[in-house]
Amino acid sequence: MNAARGARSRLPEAGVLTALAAGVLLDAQGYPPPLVEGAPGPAFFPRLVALLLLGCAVGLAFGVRRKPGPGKAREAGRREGAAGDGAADDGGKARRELRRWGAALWVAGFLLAVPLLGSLAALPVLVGGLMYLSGERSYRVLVAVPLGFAGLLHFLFEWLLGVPLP
Amino acid sequence: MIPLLDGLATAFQPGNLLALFAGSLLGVFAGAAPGLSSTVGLALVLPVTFALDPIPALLMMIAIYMAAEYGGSITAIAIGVPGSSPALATTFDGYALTRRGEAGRAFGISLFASMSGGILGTLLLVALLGPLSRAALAFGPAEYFGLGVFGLTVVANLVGHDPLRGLTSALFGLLAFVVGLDVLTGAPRLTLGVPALLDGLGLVPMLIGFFAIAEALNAVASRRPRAAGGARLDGALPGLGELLRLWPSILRGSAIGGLIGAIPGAGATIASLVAWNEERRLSKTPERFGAGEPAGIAAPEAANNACVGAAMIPLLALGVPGSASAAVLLGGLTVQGVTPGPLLLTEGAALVHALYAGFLVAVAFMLAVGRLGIPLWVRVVRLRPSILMPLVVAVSLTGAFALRGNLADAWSALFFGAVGSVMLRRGYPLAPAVLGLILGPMVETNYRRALTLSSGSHSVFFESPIALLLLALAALSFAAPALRARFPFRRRTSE
Repeated sequence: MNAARGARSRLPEAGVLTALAAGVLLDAQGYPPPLVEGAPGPAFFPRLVALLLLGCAVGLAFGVRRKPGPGKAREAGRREGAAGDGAADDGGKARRELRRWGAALWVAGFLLAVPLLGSLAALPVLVGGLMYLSGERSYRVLVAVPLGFAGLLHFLFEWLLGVPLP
Repeated sequence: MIPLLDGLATAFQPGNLLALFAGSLLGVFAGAAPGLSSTVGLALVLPVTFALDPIPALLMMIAIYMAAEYGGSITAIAIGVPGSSPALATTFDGYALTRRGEAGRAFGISLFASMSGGILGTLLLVALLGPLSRAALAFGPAEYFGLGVFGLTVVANLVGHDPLRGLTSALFGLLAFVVGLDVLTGAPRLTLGVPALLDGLGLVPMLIGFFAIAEALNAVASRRPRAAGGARLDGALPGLGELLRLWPSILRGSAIGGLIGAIPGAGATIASLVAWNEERRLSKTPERFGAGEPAGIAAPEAANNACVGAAMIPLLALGVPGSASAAVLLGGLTVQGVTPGPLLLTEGAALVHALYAGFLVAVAFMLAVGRLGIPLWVRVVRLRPSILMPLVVAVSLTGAFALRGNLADAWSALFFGAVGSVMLRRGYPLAPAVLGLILGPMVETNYRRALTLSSGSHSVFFESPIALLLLALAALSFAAPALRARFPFRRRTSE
C-alpha cells in the first residue's frame, strides 16, 4: 500500500526527467558530426546523459525506494530537519509549499523591481517580506532590520568593495 | 620550509591579515549559526571575493572553511545540535559535558583540538601537494578522463540514502554543463536559441543558488524555530595538563582526518565519526563515551579540521573537489582566473605558498576568535532563523549581481535556488549536481580529445597505466556503497 503510494508520488518526478531527456535528445539531432571519423561528436555526451536520465526516470517510476537503515535514517532525518522540511513546522504541507513559492515569487518581484526602484529602496522590501513570510511579527524588527541591513549591504559593496549596485 | 616562510611574508601583509581575520569571523559565524555551514558561508562570500585580489580572496575563503569546521562544535556543545554535519560526533560528548555544567571545558578542548588538527592537516598539504602535482604533469587526455571519471564516482559517496536520486542530481549537473558552446566544435548545445546561454550556465550563480538560496527558501517555508537554550554555558576551561593528556587522541584524530580528507568524497563528517569511533574502540573505558568523555570531543574535532588542509590536496593538484565546500572553493579559484592542476605549483607558486601560510594564520585567528568570542557565538546560536535566512537571500542576490554587474546572474541564482529547494524537498542531494557541473568538462573534453588523437580507438585508455589505475579506482569507488551494503562490517557505536 505504502510502496504503491510512494511510487505514485514519484511519477511526476519521472515525468519531468523523461521530458527533460526527450528535449535533450531532440536538441542533439541538430549537432554537427565529429571532427574525426570514429571519434565522438558534440552530440555523444548529451545523448549519453539523456539516456541515463531516462534510466533514472524508469527507476523512479517503477523502482521501490530502499528503506534506509536505522543509522542512516537518523542521519537523513537530521539532514532533512536541517534542510527545513522535517521536524520544525507550524503548518501543513500545503501552507509550507505556499510559503516556499510565495518566497520565490517575492524574490522574483524584487529582481523585477530593482531596475525601477534601485537596490537601496528594494532591498528593505525584499528582506521585510521574507521575514514576514518566515513568521516574524514584531513590527519594530520588521522595519529596523531590513533598513539597517540594506544600508550595511550598500556600505559593504559600494564603499568597501567599490562594486556599484543598481 | 622555504615556501612556508615565503608564504608567511605574504600572509602577514596587512590586507591579507585583514582578509584572514574577516574570514575567521565569518567562518565561525557560518559554522555556529543555525542553518548555515561552511559551504553556505563560502557561497555567500564568493561574489565579495570577486572585488579582491586573488591572494586575499582565497585567504578569506580558506579562513572561512577552517573556522566553520570549528564553529559547528559551538552549537554541538551549547545545545546538542551540530551547527554543521562534521560536528555531529562532537554532540555525543560535548553536550554531555555541558549538561554537567562543564561547557567551558568542552569549548576549550574543542578549540585546542581544532587548532591542532588544522595545523597537522596543513603540514600534510605542504608535504603532499608537490609530489602529487609533479606526478600529474605526466597526465594527458586519457589520464584526465580517468581522473574525471574517478571524481564523478565521488558522487557515489555523496548520494545519501537514495542512490537513484543522487545519480539523477549528478546527471542534472552534467546537463547543466552541456549548455553553451561546445569546446571542440563551437556548436551551440541546449541553448534554446537564447544568446545569453551561449556562454553557458555560470558556476557561481549555481553555487549561490543551490547552497544559499535553496537553504534559505526551505527555512522560510518551514518556519524553523529558534534553537532552544537553557543549559549553563560557562565553567572552567581545561588545564594544560588535560590538554596534553589528550594529545594522543588529537594525533589519532588528525591522522584519520588527514587520510580521509585527502580522499575525494569521504569528507569531514565521515572523518569525525570514524575518529570518535576509533577513540572509543581504543579506550580502556569505552562506556564513558557519549557521557562526556573529553577524548570524544578532541578526536572528532581534530579530524574535521585536519580534513580542511587535506581536502586541498586533490583540489589544488588535480582540480578535483572532494566535497561541496571544496567545490565552492574551486568556484572561488575560477572567479579569480586561477586554474588548479599540476602547473599551479610553478605558475602560481606565490599563491600556493600564501595558502600554506594562510592556513596556519587562519588557525591562529580561529583560536583567538573562537576563544574570545564564545559569549557572542552562544548568542549567535540562538539567532532567530526568521531574521537570519532573509538576510542570507539578500546577500546572495546582491552578491550574484555584483559578480559581473549583471542582473541575469541574480535571476540565474534564483532559478537554481528554487530548483535546489524543490530538489532538497524531494530528497535529491545538491552536491552531486555541483560536482557534475565541475567535472563534466574534464570528462567529456578529455574523452573526445583522447579518441580524436587515437582515431577512435578505445585502447588509448588501457595502454596508459595511470588511466587504467584511475578507471579501476573509479569502478571500485562507484561500487563501494553497494559493497558496504552487501558486506557490512561490524561497528561499535553508541547506537
